[in-house]
This record gives sequence, C-alpha cells and structure tokens, in this order.
Amino acid sequence: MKALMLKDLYCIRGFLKQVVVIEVFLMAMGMFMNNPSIIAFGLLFLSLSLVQACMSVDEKNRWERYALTMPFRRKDMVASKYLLLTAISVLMGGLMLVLNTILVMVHGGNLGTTTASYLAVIVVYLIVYEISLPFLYKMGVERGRYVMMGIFVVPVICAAIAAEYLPQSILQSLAAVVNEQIFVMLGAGIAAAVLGMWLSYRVSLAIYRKKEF
Amino acid sequence: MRQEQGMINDQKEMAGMGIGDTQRSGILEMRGIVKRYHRFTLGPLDFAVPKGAVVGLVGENGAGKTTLIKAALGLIRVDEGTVSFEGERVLDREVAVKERLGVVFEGSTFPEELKVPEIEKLMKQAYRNWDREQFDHYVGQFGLPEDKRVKEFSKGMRMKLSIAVALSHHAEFLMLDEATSGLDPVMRDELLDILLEFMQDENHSILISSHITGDLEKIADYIAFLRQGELVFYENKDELIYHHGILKISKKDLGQIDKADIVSVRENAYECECLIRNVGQFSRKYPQMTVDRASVEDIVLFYVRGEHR
Repeated sequence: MKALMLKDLYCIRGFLKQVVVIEVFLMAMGMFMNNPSIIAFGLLFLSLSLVQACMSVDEKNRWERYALTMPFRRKDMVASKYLLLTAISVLMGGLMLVLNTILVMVHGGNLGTTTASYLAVIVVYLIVYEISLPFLYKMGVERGRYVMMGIFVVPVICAAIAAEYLPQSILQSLAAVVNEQIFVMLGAGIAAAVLGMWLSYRVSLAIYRKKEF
Repeated sequence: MRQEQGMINDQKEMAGMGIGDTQRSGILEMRGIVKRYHRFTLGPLDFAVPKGAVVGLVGENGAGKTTLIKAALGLIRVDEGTVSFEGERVLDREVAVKERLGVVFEGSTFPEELKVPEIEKLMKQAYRNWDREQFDHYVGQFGLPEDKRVKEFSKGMRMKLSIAVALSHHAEFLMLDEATSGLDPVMRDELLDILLEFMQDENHSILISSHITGDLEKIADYIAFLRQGELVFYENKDELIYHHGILKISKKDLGQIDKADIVSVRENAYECECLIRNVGQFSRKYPQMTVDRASVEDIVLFYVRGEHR
C-alpha cells in the first residue's frame, strides 16, 4: 500500500507545476475581482482533481496491469485511491481553514459562516467524487470524466432552473433555513460524505474485482 | 480438418507426457483453463511450468500467449479452470505468490514521470526481498540513465528497466511476455545470458513468450505452441527438434509417403517440403530418403503455414 501511495505522490508532483501556475492566475483574478475566495476554491478544485489525474496516469501507462503482478491485492489498489482522496480532502480542509482565517483577518467577515461554507464545498466535492469514482473504475478515466462532469453540472442546472422558476417566497424560505441550520446541514453533509466514502469504496472494489487488464 | 484435429489431439497427449516426464513438481500449474471472448476462446487447456525449467511459449499474434500469461497472473478472470503455484491456489495466497514472481511485459509499464531512483524507492516499499545492490548492478550493466524520466527512455531501455526490477527482488519465477521484442540483437543476447545465469539456481523457473523463436531455442527446455487458443504441442525442446525433420521431395514422390508420418507440407513450383513427425521411425521405414534437421522456427512455421494432410 505504501508503494502505491508513494507512486501517486510522485504522479502528483508531476502536476504541481500546473497547479502553481493556475493558482497564480487565480490569485491575480481574485485580486482583480476583489474576491479572494476564488484562490481557496481554485486550490480545492485543483487538488481534488489530482486523484483523477493519478488514475489517468495509471491508465495511460497500464500501471495497474503491472502493479497487479506485484505483491498487492485488488483491494489495495482501490483502497490506495480512496486513501489519497481522503488525505487530500483533510489536507485541503486544514489549508482552507488557515487560508480562510487569513482572508477574514485581512478582508473581514464572519469566520464561522465562511469556514462552514468552505467545508460545505469540500463535502459537496467529496460526495461528487464518491459518486464518480465507481464510474471512473467501470468506464475508464476518459469516459468516466463525462459522468463526473454530469454529476457536477446537472445539480447546478437544476438549481439554476429552480432559482429562475420557483417563487421568490419559497427561495427566501429555503435560504433562511440554510442560514439558520448551516452547521446542522454541514454535520449531516460530513456524515453523508463519510458513509458515502465507505459505500463508494465497496462499489468500486466490486467493479475492480471483475475488471480485466 | 478432422485429420488435423486428430493430429492436434495426438500432440496434446504428447504434451501431457512431456510434462509428466520431467518428474518435477510444477511451479505453475493451470488445469482446465478456458477463457472465452467474443471472437476468441483460449483452451480448454492444461499447462504447467516445471520447477527449474524454462518454458518457451510460441504462437502467432492472437494465438493466446498473452491471454495465457494474464490468466496465470490473475489479470483476467478465467471462465473455467484453476491456477496454482506450487500446489496452492494463487487466489488463496496472492501476495505471498507475487513476492516470488518477476514479470516483464512488452511496452511501457512504469509511470512516465518517474526516474530510476524513484522506481527503486517504490519497489523497496513493494517487495519484502528488494535488493538495492542487485538493482544498482543491473542499472549499471544496462546503462540506464538515473537522471532521466521514463518518458525519455527508448523502448529497449524501458524493457531493460522492467527486467532490472524483475531480477532485483529474488524472484523464483520469471514470466516474460515478449520481453525480447524491443531489444537489439546484442541486448537480446545479453538478456538471454542473464536469464541463463538466473537459471543457475535449480529452484528458479521461467515462462517466456516470444515471436523470436531463435531466442527460445537458445534458452528453453520446453516449447509450448499455441494456435487459435489451443495448445498444439508442449514438448521438451531437444525431443521436439530430435523427433521432427524436414523432407524435401518431388510432388510426384509425395504420394508414396504414408500421410500419418507427415505433419504438414509446403509446396513450391518444383518440389515439396514435408515436416516429418517421427524422424527415427520414418528413416527406418524409408531408408533411401534424407531428412534434414528442423529448427523450432521451422516446426512452428510448418504447423502454422503448412498444408495439413
């Protein structure tokens, strides 16, 4: 397992230059738009996509075919990717908290609410990944990517349609509930993400056990 | 066609005899293996690699060599049959078995962004018996640059790297799938020497598939020939060469030969070339005829391209 994680870390290192370049661009954009949260959200988006990038590298190099001749079980192969996703999420969660604290100190704002919103974004992203990973295993990274985009895009379109067509009174009530219950919802979201992680892992493992290389 | 099938069945019986005659336990044993694809079926076949032996797997593209190796490694799920390593089902002792295997595939294997020292660190974490000194020795011997990424390596260099890794964790059983195909003749010869050195330990075994039958003729103890997913023959190499021969004969005289003595015939404008199955018996039966020695490549070509009578 350590070897698999180490391999993924080496792969991530290969993408770091791209992450830094994009982050510098986002930093400039954030300053220009006077919206520093773009930097943090950008970093989160980029770092979580590294799991998918590692899977893409594995696929390109037919690494799994070789790794499965090494002293690893299929379970180890799948578990290493979920471990990587968890590690990145926790690391990003911590980094976001630090970044958010700095941003609040510099620009002002409610630390509790902004922290909750950052964490909510991590939870949403994590859940999207948990739904997507079995598809990535089943369909391959290239085709699975479209499913992942769909999982992202469809709820956004639904929300946009709802915002357009639902009566303002209902939308305002919903917003009020979210504002009042943000910490409860965040807690429920984290619980859902943890449960989702386990479920997603089981489904991915079942798919991976049938996969041929 | 029926006659050809009969001949193949005869050969399969010989294959069984060949394995049993070794009087050694098989390090790898595959029994009743069947793998079905949409347009191709491997098997049903029994296949074993005796301990301390080099088995060369030959056959055309698409004959099932890689499928057989993948089935042995558990990379594909077989529809029927079992794979065991020293008498135990591989699935039951997967990690322990894989510690003792060294595998080389054709083509790229390692993530392209990695450098040799990083691959060394990775393998150190993966294998309990990883031998850094051994790896460094092969890296030096193969002239692998340590400061370049795998993506900058040539096909031959990538293959050398895979071989260096396979030989550096004290594996007892090497499985090489078309490992010599990307290498120049000098390197191929060097690799064959390394494999012969590996075989100095009587507990070591090799299963090697290759299109280059000349390479297999140099190192293999047994030759297994796959055609369209079927094991056509699996014989001790020396016996295979000893028992087969090529008879050059005019088309007119061909009719005098008993068809049962001929494996297949290749005709050109002036004469026929026949692959004779049992040269000793044939020479006693037809003392006036001269049978030339056949190489493994000749035998395989006759089986594939010759006209079966």
